[in-house]
Amino acid sequence: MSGYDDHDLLTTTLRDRAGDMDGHTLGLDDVKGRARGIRRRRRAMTGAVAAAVLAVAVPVGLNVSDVDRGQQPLPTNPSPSVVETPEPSPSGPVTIDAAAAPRGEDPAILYADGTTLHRPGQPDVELPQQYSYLLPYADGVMGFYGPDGTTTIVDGSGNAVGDPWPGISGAVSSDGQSLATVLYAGGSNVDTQLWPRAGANPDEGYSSNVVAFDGDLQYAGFVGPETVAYNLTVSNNQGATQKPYVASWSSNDEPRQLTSLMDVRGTNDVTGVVSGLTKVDYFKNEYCSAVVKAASDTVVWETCEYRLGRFSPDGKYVLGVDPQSDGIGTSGVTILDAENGDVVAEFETASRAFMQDAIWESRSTVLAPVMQDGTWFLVRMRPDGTVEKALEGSRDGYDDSSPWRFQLTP
Amino acid sequence: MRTHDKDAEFEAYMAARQPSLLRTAYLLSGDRHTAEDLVQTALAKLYLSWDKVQQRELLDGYVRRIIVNEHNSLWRRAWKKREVSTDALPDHQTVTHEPDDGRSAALWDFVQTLPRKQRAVIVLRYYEDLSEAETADILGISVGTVKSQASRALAAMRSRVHDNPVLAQDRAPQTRPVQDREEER
Repeated sequence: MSGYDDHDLLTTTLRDRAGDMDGHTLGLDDVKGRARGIRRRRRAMTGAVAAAVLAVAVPVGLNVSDVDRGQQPLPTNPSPSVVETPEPSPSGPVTIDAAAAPRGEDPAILYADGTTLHRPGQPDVELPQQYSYLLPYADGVMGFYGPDGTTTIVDGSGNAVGDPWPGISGAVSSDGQSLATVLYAGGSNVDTQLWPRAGANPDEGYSSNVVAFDGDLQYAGFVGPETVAYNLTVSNNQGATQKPYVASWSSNDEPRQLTSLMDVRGTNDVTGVVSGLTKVDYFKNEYCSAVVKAASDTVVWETCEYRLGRFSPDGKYVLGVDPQSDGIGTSGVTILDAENGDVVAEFETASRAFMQDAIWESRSTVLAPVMQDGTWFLVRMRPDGTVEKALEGSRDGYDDSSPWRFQLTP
Repeated sequence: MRTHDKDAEFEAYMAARQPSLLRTAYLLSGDRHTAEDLVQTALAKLYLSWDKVQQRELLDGYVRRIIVNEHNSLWRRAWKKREVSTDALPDHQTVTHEPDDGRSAALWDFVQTLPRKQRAVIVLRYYEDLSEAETADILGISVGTVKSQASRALAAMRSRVHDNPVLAQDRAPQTRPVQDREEER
């Protein structure tokens, strides 16, 4: 019996035996349930459960009920104005006790709670269904419905306009005036669509650019007036690869890969930069990120202390989270100077809490759902280190997913 | 990454790769329920790290490594529960099996008697068809160890052939070429 025969015999035997294995098919809920258990055990092992909850430090004299006073909220309706952001002041991490934080104003951006769409300064609207996330559009929204993978335009009265189309990725420019969506046009063709925020005829009111993409396109955001960055995920039998690209509606150039990054997570169209991962070592648990100039594909600065994410609308700040944070949530968020990576303000959740999906509400306010002791809170954080609640706590939703769905932000 | 994007991406990966991972886990553990448990834990750990795993071509290797490590942990815990006080773990698992119904069943029985490390090497090399370097990376051992473990497993298999008439059927007398012996060194 030769070595070659041995290998063949073993391979055949193993494949025959493995072919009989058709066990119970796991669902996402099964896996997330197990993940929660692992997460709890990890936290318990690090002794985090026993840590004391510290009160949130709110500087004396701050009018915490005044939402983002003197700062421009993201335009749910176009109303541009230029206001200086406050100078950052805190030193050391601020521990968030979401339950004890003072109540501020409601969010200054669109959000949905179930099927109810909340619009700043306008009456609530009942949406046709519960969307995964939203883009403000005309007097209504575009709703992205994950289970069907479709996008629907909903008018200001809550009525669906036209038929849903396949594709669930979107982005909004930092001035709120331009929107990007995708339409899977059949085969491997993807129509990348550029919309005026003020509203247009769905059939002909957007700029269209049909490109052959043999993969899944997910926008990261705008990096210029008519230029977007996105991640393209291509699957094959060996798994999937993800690469970041920049593409423009105003040029005939082919999409350009950003070679200095492994993916793109944040963008800014004022400063023309993107953020994303530069290095991952799963076995050493090391993750590095960088801010990169999109036009030249050059690194501005790099860090292995934070996983970088979204930029403030004016491009002044960038959010960073602990690179060791896991998929269910983070232990907090840090506001960094986007020019050089200096820490501006650092926020940590209490020991039995975690944070999800921090977004910029305005050029100097960050919103993030925080799960603390079985209740979801929406906290508002500022570069000066102040924290407040933007909504009352809610026990709706799931223990790994908040009850609120926010509009897409830059 | 937004939670819903992440879930959609993860679900797609899970749907595509779960059957394959389950088969690998089964070959490693030899037990369906254990295999399902291993895969659920491995996928849960992958879910927790999903935002960080951007080199998606490395996902399968990452998950396989979790499965192998989890299997080793399960095995160690099982021995602890039996109150085995010695630090030296026995190299061979006790296997009970149905009566032989042919060469494949006999070989499968043989695979199940292999020490865990050898068995993992065999599964990754000859079932997953990974290279020696890829196998070494997943198991966290050197390429040399992969070679030696595979060689020992094959040698044990040949030895069984002599003893087992089912395995030996239709086989020519043992006259291994020199190059085969060289490969095993």
